[in-house]
Amino acid sequence: MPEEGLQDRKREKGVHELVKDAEKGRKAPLPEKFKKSGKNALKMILYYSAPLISIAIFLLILVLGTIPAVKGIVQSNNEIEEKNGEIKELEKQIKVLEALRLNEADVNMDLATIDKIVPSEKTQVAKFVGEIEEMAKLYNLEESKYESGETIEKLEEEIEEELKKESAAIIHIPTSSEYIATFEDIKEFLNALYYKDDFIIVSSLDMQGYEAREYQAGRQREMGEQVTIDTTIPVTEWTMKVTFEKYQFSEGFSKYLEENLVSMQSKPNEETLIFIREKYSSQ
Amino acid sequence: MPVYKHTIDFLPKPSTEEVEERFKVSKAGVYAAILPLLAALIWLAAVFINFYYRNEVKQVEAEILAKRVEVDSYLETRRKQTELVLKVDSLTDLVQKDFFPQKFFDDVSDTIKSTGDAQATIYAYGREEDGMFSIEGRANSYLDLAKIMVVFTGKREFENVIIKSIHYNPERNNVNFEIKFYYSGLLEEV
Repeated sequence: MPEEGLQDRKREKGVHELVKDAEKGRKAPLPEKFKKSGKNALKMILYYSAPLISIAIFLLILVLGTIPAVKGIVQSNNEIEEKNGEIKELEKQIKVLEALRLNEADVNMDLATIDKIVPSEKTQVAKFVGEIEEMAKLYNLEESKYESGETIEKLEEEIEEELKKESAAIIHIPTSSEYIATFEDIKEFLNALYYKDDFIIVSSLDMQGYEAREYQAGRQREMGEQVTIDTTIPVTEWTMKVTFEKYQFSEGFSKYLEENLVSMQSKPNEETLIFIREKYSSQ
Repeated sequence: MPVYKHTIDFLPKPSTEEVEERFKVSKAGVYAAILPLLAALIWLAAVFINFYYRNEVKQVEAEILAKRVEVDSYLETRRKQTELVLKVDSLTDLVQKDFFPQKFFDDVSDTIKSTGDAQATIYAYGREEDGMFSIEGRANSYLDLAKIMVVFTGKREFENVIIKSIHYNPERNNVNFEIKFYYSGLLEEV
C-alpha cells in the first residue's frame, strides 16, 4: 500500500509539471489573440484611436471655445483703450467748460451791455429819430430837413420785415438829417452822440463851412452850371448832412443760437469786446 | 500541511507581454484624457478672463455716459458763450466804423499845425459810406499843400492818403484841395 501512495505522489507531480509545461508553451502575442475575437478588435481600435480622439477634442475645444474667448478678450481690451481715450477727451472738455462757467458772470455782463446797445426786440425807429432830434435841439442845431412821419413809418415797416429774417443777421437802421449850426455846436452834438449810452455810428457825413459853400458856388459858376449852393447861410454857420445808423439783431439770430454752438475754445474778438466794455459798461 | 500549498490554479495566468500591454493601454487612456482636460481648463480660464473684461467695458461705458451727462449740464453756459462770440464778431466791422469826433477834428488840426510854416484852412469834412474820410481846404501854395500831404502821409492815424482834387485859384492865389484817407484812430481813445 505505501508503494501505491508513492506512485500517486509521482502521478500528482506529473500533473503539476504537465500544467507548468503547458503554461510555458503558451506564448501567443496579444494582437493575434485579439484578431481572433470581435471584442479584441474593438479594444484594439480604441487603443490606437484614443490619442487621435483626444487631439480632436482638444482642437475642437480650442477652435470653438478658447479662440473665440481670447478674441473677445483682445476686442474688449481694444474697446477699453479706445473708450479711455474718449474719457480723457471728455475730461478735457469738462475742464474747458468749468473755466467757461467761472467766467459766466463776465459773459452775462457783456451780453447785457451788448443787448442794451444793440437790442433784439421790436424796432423803435420813430424813437431813434426822436432822440436824434432832441439831441440836435439841445445843441442848437437847426434842422433844415426833416424826416417826415410817412418816411419814418415806411422805414419802420421795412425794418420790421428785416428783423423777421430767418438768418442770423444784424439789421442797419439809418436816419438822415440836415442841420445848420456853428462848427463848435456841430462838434459838441457829434461828441454827445458818441458818448450816448447807445451804439450809433455816423455812417456818412458832409460838413461844409462858409468857404466851402463859396468855393462850390464859384466852381458851379465857372462851369456854367446853375448855382445850387445856398450862399445866404450866415458866414459863421456850417451845414451838415449826416446819416446815423443804429443796429438790431434779427429774430433769426436767436433761433440760430438755439440750434448752433461754437466750439468750446472759441473766444470773442478781444479788441471789440474791450472797446464795448470800456465805452458802454462804465456808463 | 496547509491546504493552499497544494492548490492548483488551472486558470491561465496572463503572460508578461499581456500584463505589459494592459499597463500600456491604461497609461494611454490617462494620456488621452490629459489633452481634453487641459483644453477645457484653458477654455474656462479664457471665459472667466473674457467675462472680467466685458465687465470692465461696461464700467468704462457707464463712466463715459456720466461724463457726457456732465458735459450736457453745461449747455446753458455754451449757449451764452456762443451768443457772446457771435454777437461780438458781428459787431467787429461796425465798431471799426465808429470814431470819436473830437479826436478826429483835433488830429486833423494838429497834423496841419505840425507842418510848421505851411498855412491851410479846412472848410469841409466828410465821411462816405465806405468809411473813407475827406477834408477840403485851402492852402497858400502848392508847396504848403505838399508839406501837408507829407505830414498826413507820415501820421499813422491816416491811412491810404490821396489827393482827390486840386484847384488853383488865381484870383486869390491859393490852392483848393480835397484829401481822402482812412482814419484809424478809432478804437484807441475810449
